[in-house]
Amino acid sequence: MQRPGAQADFAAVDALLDATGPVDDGLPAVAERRRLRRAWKLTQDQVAVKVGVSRETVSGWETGRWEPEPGSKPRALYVHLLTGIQKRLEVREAAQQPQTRNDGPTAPGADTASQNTAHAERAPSAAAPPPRVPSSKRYASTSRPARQVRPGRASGKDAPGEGELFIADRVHEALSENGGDAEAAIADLEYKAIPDAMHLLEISRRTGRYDFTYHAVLPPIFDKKPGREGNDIWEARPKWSAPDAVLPPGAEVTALDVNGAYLSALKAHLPIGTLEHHLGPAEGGPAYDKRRSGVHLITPPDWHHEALPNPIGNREEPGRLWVTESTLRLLQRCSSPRYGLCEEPLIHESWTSGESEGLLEGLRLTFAAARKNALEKDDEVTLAYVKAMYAKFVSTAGSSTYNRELNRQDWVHIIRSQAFANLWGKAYKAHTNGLTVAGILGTDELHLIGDWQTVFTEGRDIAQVKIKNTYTLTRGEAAGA
Amino acid sequence: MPERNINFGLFGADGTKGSQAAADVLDRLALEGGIISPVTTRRGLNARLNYLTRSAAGYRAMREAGITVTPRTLRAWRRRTQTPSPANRERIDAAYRAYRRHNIANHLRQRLNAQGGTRVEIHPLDQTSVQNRHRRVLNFRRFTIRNWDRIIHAWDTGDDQALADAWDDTLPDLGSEWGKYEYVTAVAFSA
Repeated sequence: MQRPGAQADFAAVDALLDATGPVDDGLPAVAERRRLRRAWKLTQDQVAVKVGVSRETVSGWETGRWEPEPGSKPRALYVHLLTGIQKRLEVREAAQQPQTRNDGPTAPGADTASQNTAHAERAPSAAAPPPRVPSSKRYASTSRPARQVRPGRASGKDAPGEGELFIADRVHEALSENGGDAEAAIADLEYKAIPDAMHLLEISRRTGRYDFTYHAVLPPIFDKKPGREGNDIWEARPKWSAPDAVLPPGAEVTALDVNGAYLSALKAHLPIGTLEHHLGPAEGGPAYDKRRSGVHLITPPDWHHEALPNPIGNREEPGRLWVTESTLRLLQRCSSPRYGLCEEPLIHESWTSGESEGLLEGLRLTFAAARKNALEKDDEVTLAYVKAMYAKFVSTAGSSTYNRELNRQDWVHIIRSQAFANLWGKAYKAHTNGLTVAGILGTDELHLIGDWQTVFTEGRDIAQVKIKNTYTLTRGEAAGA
Repeated sequence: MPERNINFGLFGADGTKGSQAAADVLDRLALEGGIISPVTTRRGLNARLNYLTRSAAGYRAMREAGITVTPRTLRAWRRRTQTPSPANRERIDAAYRAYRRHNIANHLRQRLNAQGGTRVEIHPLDQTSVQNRHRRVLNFRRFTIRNWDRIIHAWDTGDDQALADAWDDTLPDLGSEWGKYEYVTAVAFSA
């Protein structure tokens, strides 16, 4: 009885040995795994979801802390993913045309469908080869893939940062949840824009030098008055049209829109801590300190330029007013010898704190890079998402019930007036280049007479402008302004 | 001195008890979603009366705030045929605050406890009038309070001593120097 049983046991062991053991299933070496994933712009999270393990496990595989269990399904998927990336990279390198739609030999045939639908068709299948083929195409720039296969360059200067990957992830997620329906995905993303922007802020501040205050305790000048009135801070919103005297009747006016005005305005001199009160130089206080930022009670200088808008906007009330750092700096610039447009503003009182222009710089760069990338790829979903994030961030960073994590009303005012100051700068640039400024209004509208293409370039990029409309002056008055 | 202050302000430091500053923030959070118009306006008064006369608990809040008018007067207030005296307006406002605070407490507690608690920022006390030799290095501090149950309960019942105890019991999270932050210029958090 014992002998045949033992024989069967030995046979079973043999069978086991035949069936298992270190098989070469093509799993790339430990050092290669991370490089491949990054070259295809995948996050560990994305890989983990598709392969069916936790992110930590994927991390362990990449560092060699542990290996995917031989013969398991996750391992097969992981091998398939990495070899798929390898093959695609080779194909891309070989064909010097990285933008071709049909470059992956193993890619399922969805090429005729739109990118979004292709996306949705592939998403539900767990065994689908490399996830996110369409979207990774979208995020890879034309010149990048060829460079990335070279080892050592993967973490180069233009590799996407953590924030950009987060944005790409969220867009990918929203698209697959909505079956590729771009409009529904945009709605979903906009709904989550505020917490996502706050998450990006956290990411961007990780290596920051300053620990800023999230909830500033602000002086009463920031208190909103009952009714529909705002607080005492004057943001210098422009609403100006040139007087008839400087407008040639019957001239053709082009209304231009500045792209991403609030996005650019995130680079402003922002106070880091809580504002402290002190007298201004006009009242015997300390001299103006450009390393501090906040709000100031000033007497604005007189403005005697018919062809240029007043930097403090269309304020009709004379006398002192509370302005933000951005407006004050603009006035000081105007009074500098280089501009020589007005007297220096008198500062009577100030609420300031130590400042940095870089507090939101990381966040701004993330948004700008994602926006630029989306424009290149014609990716309207990411574009709308990024726009919602920065616009809502600016509008809810103060005492808003929609964003409880951040309460910096002072920042909101400073960022807004920075956008207005930037717009004034564009008007000034047009003026000095011989154009007639017919009006500026709101955050981003610039009405010009003359050949504006010599000064600004048309386009959707941040430094560029787009045409809103053109009209002819009838009675020498800029419409709308 | 790591422990509680015995004689705060002896050398000229200026500040309020941290628990008091926290109660102010909680009051603001509770009231900011409520009636904005002041009680001195007709609109604000009507809104408060509507709020207080909608349930038995509202009437109770008015009684506890010291409003002892007859039901007939109260009806006249509601019918706008008679207006309350300035003293009674103050009491109506106090009753509204207490009642609103009580109604909002549970919800506020849930929001503060959600997602692992709420981050609190401490703006240290003002020592501009303290002589140099007695000044301490006081930094802006930030910490997370994970469980707000005791604080909210004490705030809701209006028990200042219990609130001070509950608040101070969270402070040791700041480290051995927590006594420096018993009195503060302001505390800041949101929910």
